Amino acid sequence: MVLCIVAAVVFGVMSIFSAKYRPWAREGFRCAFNMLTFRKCDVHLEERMRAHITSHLMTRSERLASAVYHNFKLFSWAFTIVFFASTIYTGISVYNIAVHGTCDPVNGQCIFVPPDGTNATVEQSKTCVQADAPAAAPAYFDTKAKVMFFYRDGCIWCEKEKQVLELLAKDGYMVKPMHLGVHPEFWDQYGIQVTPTFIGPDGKKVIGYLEYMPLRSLLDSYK
Amino acid sequence: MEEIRKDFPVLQKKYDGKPLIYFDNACMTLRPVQVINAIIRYYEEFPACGERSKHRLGAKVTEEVDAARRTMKDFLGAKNEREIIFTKNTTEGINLVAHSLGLKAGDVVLTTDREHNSNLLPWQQLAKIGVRHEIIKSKADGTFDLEAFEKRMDKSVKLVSMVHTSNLDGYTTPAEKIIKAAHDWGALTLLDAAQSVPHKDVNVSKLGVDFLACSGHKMMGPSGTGVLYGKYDLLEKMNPFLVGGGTVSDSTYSTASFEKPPEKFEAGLQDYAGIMGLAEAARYLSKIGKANIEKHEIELNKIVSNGLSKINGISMIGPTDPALRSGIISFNVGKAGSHEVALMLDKNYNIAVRSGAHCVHSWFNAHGLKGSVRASLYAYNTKEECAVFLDAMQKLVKVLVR
Repeated sequence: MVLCIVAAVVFGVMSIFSAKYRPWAREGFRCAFNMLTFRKCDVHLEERMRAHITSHLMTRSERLASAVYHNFKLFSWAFTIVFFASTIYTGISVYNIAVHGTCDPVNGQCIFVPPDGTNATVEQSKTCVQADAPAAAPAYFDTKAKVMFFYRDGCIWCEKEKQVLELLAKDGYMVKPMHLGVHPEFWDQYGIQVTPTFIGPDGKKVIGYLEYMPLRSLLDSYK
Repeated sequence: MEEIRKDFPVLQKKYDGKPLIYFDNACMTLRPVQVINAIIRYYEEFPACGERSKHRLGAKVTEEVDAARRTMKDFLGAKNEREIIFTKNTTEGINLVAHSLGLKAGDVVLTTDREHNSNLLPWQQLAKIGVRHEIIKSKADGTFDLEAFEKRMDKSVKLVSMVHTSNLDGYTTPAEKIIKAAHDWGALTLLDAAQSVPHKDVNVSKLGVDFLACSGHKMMGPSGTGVLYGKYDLLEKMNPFLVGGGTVSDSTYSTASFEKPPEKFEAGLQDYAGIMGLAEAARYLSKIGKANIEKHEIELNKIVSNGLSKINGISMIGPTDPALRSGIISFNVGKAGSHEVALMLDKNYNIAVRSGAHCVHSWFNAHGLKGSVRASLYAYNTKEECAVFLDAMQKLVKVLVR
């Protein structure tokens, strides 16, 4: 029965692009509606899908068709769990990309960005060079500054924030560098969850990338 | 018998490169080109009103409808063509009797336990006004329990309305004995002959039945056509079911003078093309010979039933002797859903069968079954098709049954 909900969602999306999936989507919605309203399902969607898939497999291998037919419940549950898990994971990742610029703001890993040849790796290597060269400390860092700037290597939005800080440095605005890669204890010590994060002298925490004006206003408020 | 296949356009077509094997004849039969042409002829040559219009086209329609009525009278063995009422289908015929016979509270209507919804629901509806609907249960072997029936008969039974050949498993009830027993107690009889008239010689005069309903679409005729036979003296006494144009000879603002049967029961403009197609179907079946059709179907049924009985995992419904099951083979495959089997037969082998409860939900519910696969044969089916069907079933069972 739960397959109806998956079918409704999957075929619903597919039917946007192809009309041939629309009857299946309609049946999926009807089946899901019946299920959610505790009515007897008269659509036989699962039965029809099982017959359709088994028929298709029968033309290739009767053994495979038999295995799929008799374990269809198991397959459909596995498919359902994978479907919902991947949907949730994708949703979180999309949210993180929108807010933090990376799928995984904690570890800097992103399933959408392969480990080599993409901008994430380029950014990471770039920040690594910067991290290995403390002598060339940027102009916007001042260890005595009031506002702490928590950042780490491999964080795209941290790099963007640094570009904003560079502009602000020309007007004399500085932040206290809090490198989470060098000082991993800062994560727990300051309760940091994502980067970039700013913490003012009053303990007020501002999370996420800030554009020029908002960041300038923040720094102004502690002058 | 195989000669007739060329008359059926659908059998000449190929679907996904293969011919169709049509085993869903209990639901709907294919139509020969003669029937199709009869329908076209009406629309091309005289597409006018019968009876009402006196011009040449109208006169031709009246003449053709009268001829069709005579054809159906001969086809059913009635004595008088005025005993033939054209209906939409068997369902309408049964409903006409149920609503026009004047049954009242306390009257008993007897049916079997394997009635199509069309011969069940009308009596359930009449139960609301106090008519008692009682059921004669079949014996364990699926045959009609004549002893129980005769035991139940008394003066309170006013109508025995029974299926002649069951669409569930093809079993034919001993109609003559039932009718005789009913008449002995003064009860009227109605036969749901939707599955018998197309497949075997049914003669209302020999049977002595009071009413008989059948459909055109199950006898190579057009959809939406049917016939209700009724003894003329009974029809005369009955009130019309539907009223309106064609049922009256005259009317005032407050009264109406009804026509005699059958016009009294044929309200509104009739499906003239359908009626002509139906008569052509009756002529076509008569030409082949009902006895030949019955013999052919039983021969094929034996091949299919014997073949299926050798496949482990298939359970048959109804009497074991194929000769008792007309051209119908109703079965289940292990625990597989009947729709699954039907879909797979269609998808992989181009074999059309019916699945589900076949409008006999009451029987399936009483027996704890969800439905069955039903292969139903007809005059144009062949032994080769049966062999392909059996081969397909063997392959399906390998996949569906562990």
